[in-house]
Amino acid sequence: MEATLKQKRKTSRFNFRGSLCMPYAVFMALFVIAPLLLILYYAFTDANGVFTLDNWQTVFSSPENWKVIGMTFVISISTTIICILIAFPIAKILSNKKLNKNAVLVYIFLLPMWINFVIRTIGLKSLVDGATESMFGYKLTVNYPYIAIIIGMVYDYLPFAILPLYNQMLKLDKNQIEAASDLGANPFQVYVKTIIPMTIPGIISAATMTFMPTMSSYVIANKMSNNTTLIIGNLIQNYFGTRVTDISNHIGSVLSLVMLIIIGFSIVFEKLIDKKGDEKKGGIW
Amino acid sequence: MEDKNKDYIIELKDVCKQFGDNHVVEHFNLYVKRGEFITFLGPSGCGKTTTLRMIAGFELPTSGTILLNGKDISLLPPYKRPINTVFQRYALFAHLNIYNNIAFGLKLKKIPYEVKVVDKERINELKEEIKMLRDELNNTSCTDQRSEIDTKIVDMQNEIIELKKNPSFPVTKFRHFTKKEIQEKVRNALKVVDLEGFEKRDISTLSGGQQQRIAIARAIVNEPEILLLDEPLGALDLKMRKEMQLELKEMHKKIGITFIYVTHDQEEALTMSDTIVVMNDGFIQQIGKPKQIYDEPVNAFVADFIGESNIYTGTIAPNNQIRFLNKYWDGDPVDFPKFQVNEKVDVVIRPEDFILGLKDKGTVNGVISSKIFKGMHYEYIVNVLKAEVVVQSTSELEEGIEVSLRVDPTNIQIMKKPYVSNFYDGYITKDYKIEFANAEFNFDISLLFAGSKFNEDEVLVDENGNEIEVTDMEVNVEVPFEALNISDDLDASEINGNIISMIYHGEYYEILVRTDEEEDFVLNVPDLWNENDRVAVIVDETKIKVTRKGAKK
Repeated sequence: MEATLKQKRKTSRFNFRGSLCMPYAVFMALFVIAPLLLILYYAFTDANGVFTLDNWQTVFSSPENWKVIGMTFVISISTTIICILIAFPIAKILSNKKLNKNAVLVYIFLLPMWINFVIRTIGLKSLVDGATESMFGYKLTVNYPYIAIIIGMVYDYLPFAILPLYNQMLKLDKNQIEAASDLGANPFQVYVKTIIPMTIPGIISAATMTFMPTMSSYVIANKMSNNTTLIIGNLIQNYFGTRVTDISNHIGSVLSLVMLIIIGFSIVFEKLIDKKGDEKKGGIW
Repeated sequence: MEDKNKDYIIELKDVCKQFGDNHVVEHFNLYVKRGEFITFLGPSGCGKTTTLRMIAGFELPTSGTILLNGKDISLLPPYKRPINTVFQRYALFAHLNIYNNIAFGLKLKKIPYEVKVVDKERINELKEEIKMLRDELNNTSCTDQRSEIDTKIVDMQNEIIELKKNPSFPVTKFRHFTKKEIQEKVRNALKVVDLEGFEKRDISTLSGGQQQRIAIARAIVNEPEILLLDEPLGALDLKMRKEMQLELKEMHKKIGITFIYVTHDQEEALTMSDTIVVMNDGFIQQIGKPKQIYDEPVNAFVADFIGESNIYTGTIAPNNQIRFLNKYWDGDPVDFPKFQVNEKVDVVIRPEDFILGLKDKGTVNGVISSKIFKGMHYEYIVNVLKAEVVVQSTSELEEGIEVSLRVDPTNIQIMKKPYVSNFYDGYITKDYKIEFANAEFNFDISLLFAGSKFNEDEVLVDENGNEIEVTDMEVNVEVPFEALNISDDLDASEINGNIISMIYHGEYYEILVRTDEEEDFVLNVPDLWNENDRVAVIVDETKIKVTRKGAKK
């Protein structure tokens, strides 16, 4: 009796909880799906709206573009690796309750994020140039723009690597670490055999959080190389921003699709590594 | 002496542990025999887990030494100790499957083995000798001598060839277990814990009891000399716990290594152990076999903690009698030589040792105020005057009727009272008050000095009118139990502390309050409080007794 009543109520009543999704659905449709469809449309049409693959040919026939895409990939990967290598020990220290009472240190590390991104980057550029000029007699951003770009990206995206790792390390089971040492693991083995495997979800979050934005950012590359070195973000910005020809935004669309595919592959790749971590995911994802 | 030491696998000598100002373990002395099942038993916060962690190496003792097979291991890190732990919350590695969890220690372990190598030193020695003989050969012309040397050289050359062919020099090397050995050992460990064939399963697919077994397997697979178990059954339900208790006991018999077990469950301790160490407040209270601890508790705390007990304050009377519950009771004569007549003692009687009888047929009469059926027996609460007596009996009696109680003399346990009064070191302040336990109290100082009095300026003078200098003079302060009371209004007194222990004495609770400065106050109160409650200790100044230190004119 009760059950049937309940069921009736369920079917007849307006689903309030479900309706709470509506604003989000509208938002997604307007600002995520529609632009994606537009990019797809542009990527496969010419200036007159006729279906064509010429845009793709234009992009991939230019060795210059290949070089930019390749360099973007190299820069993003190196930034991600360097960020994680730096963030791991920092996160370990931050998660130590004795050293980081009341999590004040975490805020200190996140504080740079409160300053405007562009100002921060320009500031860093002057600092780096000033330092190399006084020490070696040249400006890093002029002589070694790629290194300068990586330094800029590491600086800007380090907090995004620290946070998920820090969150994961807070959740580390002290007992398991003690158990490892009890079973005969010396401090180094404890790290390799327990702490690192247990923080893999955090490492993956950190990797995603740094890899994705570095792939698409262009301000840092722009500022840190004095606008001399292009990465894929700059390229897209150039095509969309300047509109040299009728089809420049069509070509820009192709490039952003390429970027999307690379990011998509990287996420699939990370998921494969993390196939075991479904339930105990840490970090931000 | 040497042989005697060999019996002990682990020895703790005067081990103390402090966290900041907090003394967690104090003067811990324990000798554990090889193959023994020993249990640390005590309420939470008594220091039992800390002691275990010091044996495991997770904590280092503040002072004292821990010897393993006679060797000092006090400061050795955990991974260098041949000791393994079963953790309270299992602490299995979530990122590894069962096989890899159990094999974790085996894969890290390096085992010594002997290999025979060519004895290069001996060969070099021989070569050296041959060279010398050859030199000799060149310098001698005597044929006899020459042929003699020649045979010698040939012998030596043969020896070298022999040495090279058959390596015989033993050398100790270290290797890891082979994969096959590890598989074999893991399979055996799983067999011991009754989980054969579980190798490939994931930790998250196991029930609590199974995880517990894996944790045990992971520890015993390393063949430790000592297995430490930190409340390993705490997270299991009652039925599971009972089963595991018996299985652990069985396992201990089978493997034959030393078990050191920590629990706050007295029944668990009595069931499993060869030896029980009862701890409270960082101190060992009693070490003994389970039966010994149950039958002959050394003090009221042990009696109260192990099993159910009636505890009363009694007075020793002449003729081997004790007075408590307002009556004289016959005691066991062997107990009495330790005590003086009129000494206040704690009397402990187990509920099952009281014998119920018809009114006026026993030592004391009382009224049954409650009756609970417990399966095997009835549990009655009998009111004798103001005191309560818990009695267990198989016969069924009605509530409200008057009965008599008696006890076999050998079942009356008499023990020295740990606290008879409170004693403190105090001193006299500038304004003639007594300060102790960081608080000031009014006291007539003139009582301390014969013939002294306060003059019109409120200055203490002797009979000749000369001022007596008393500021900062040290005094002994005694505060009897009756002078103390506690209140949950923390502003009621300057002295605030936490209730450390509470033992029911039939009519009242004996409560121990400890302040943040580690001063203890013992008092008796009629009402029930909770352990760890924060209370104010109110001191009745009129009942304080003060004497001058060392001065007995």
